[in-house]
Amino acid sequence: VADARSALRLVAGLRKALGLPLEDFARSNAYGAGAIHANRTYGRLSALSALHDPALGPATYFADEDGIVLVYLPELDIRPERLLKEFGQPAARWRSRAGKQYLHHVLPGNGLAFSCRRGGKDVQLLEVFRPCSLHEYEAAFYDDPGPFVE
Amino acid sequence: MARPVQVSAAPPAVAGPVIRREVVKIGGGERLEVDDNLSTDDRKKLIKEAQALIAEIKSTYGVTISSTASVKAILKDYFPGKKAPKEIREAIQPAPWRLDELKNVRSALNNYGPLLGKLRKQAKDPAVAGSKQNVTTIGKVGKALSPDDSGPHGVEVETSTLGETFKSSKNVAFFEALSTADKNFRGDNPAQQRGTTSHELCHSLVEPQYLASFVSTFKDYWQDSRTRIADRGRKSTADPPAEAPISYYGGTNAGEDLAETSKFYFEAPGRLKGGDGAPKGTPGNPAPRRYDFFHRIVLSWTQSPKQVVKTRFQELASDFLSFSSTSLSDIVEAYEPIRLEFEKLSKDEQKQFRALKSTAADHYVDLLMASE
Repeated sequence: VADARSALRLVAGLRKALGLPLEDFARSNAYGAGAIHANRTYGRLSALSALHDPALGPATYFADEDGIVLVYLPELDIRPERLLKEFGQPAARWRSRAGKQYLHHVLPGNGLAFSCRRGGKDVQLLEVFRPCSLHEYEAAFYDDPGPFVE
Repeated sequence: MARPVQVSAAPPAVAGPVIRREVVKIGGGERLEVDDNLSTDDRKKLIKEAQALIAEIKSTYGVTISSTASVKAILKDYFPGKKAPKEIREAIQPAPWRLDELKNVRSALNNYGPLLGKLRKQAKDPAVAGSKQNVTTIGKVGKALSPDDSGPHGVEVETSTLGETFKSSKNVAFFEALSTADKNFRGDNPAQQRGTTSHELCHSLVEPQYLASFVSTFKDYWQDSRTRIADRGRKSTADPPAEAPISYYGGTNAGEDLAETSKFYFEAPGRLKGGDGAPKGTPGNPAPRRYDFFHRIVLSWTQSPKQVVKTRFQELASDFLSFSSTSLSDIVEAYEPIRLEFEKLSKDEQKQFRALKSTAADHYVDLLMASE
């Protein structure tokens, strides 16, 4: 994305997908039938369907039987402080599977989580989901990498 | 070189009979632990050997042993753009080497020999030959830092990290905890030292160029470099299960998977290919595809792409000829790589393979032909 505003617009766009039936979303956004994959997992959720086509964008949409529950972007070119300014301070900062020097910033009330390094200029592992409690986020989506020792 | 000077007493590295050690300066800001009960001559010999090793590492691999460089790299990464607080600076300090540790560092560097020093410029892979070396210093440090939101400075001073790569400083840190660790090689700390150092070197020397193709090759396990595709506790839930990393730690992210692959490739290739007894899909399973992936990378350092295919084909064919299983499905699954390689060969080369004088090979060639 070209700038912070575009990045924020992108995040807002991803939010609109939450709750929609995956097939409907795929059809209306020109995804081919082969872009939907069954039996995927994310965090602690299983039996999900995942929609991803790198030709149409980096996002992966994860859905259960009730529709899209999480949208995941591997990285986003926006300064972490800009996201925090927009969405508020994180309720928790946990270890991130992005790497030892990263912390996963969780803003469950705003339905947003992302990882960044101290002084980092971009964000990794951006997740957009329906607003929930910290406990609900942890129980559903958090993938604790454990301590990085090497 | 300056005359060795005793600077402080160091605690024994391992439990058991107390071995008194002293720490001596060996030049270049580095220090060495020596047993207190050594004769003066033996001590001088030991110091000379360490100094020669450090010089050899510099001249052969283009890597300076510098523990102060590691300390700087740690503080730079964890406190970017500002000075680290005093208590953190006091906690993160260079540590003295033991001679065997320097030898293990040299062994790990030697694993990547064609990518280092003067040999790098002669690498067959133009992407390697034309780029700068990503590791120029290695140091030993007592304690490590980890991000910690509850700490006063946002970090925790800890002693569980064994090694860490600091790409922005082209540095690898060897932490004191590695002096006694044996997490992957029970009872064999030297293997762990070499393995962990190889793991860290992989992060710097191999990962930047090969992570994307690693993810793409193992797309049945990795959705992207940080996300597994279908798993429960890092165990593949695909049907049939995908080949999982060789260790649980390798399931952290694809970069760690690749680095763990390198660790076992160099230190325990049989375990990488044959696993640690875990079933397919579970970390610790046989990982022949990961072995194959890394083996091709290593071959590519000294061989042209065509030579790599040929060498790998010959190796697989040789394995195949000694294969004793009578199960056709086992043969087909185990030797699928032969079929893939076979397709890449010229017609003449395919003829040569067909001419192999082995009933088993003939049988498999028939299978290959039938599948065409």
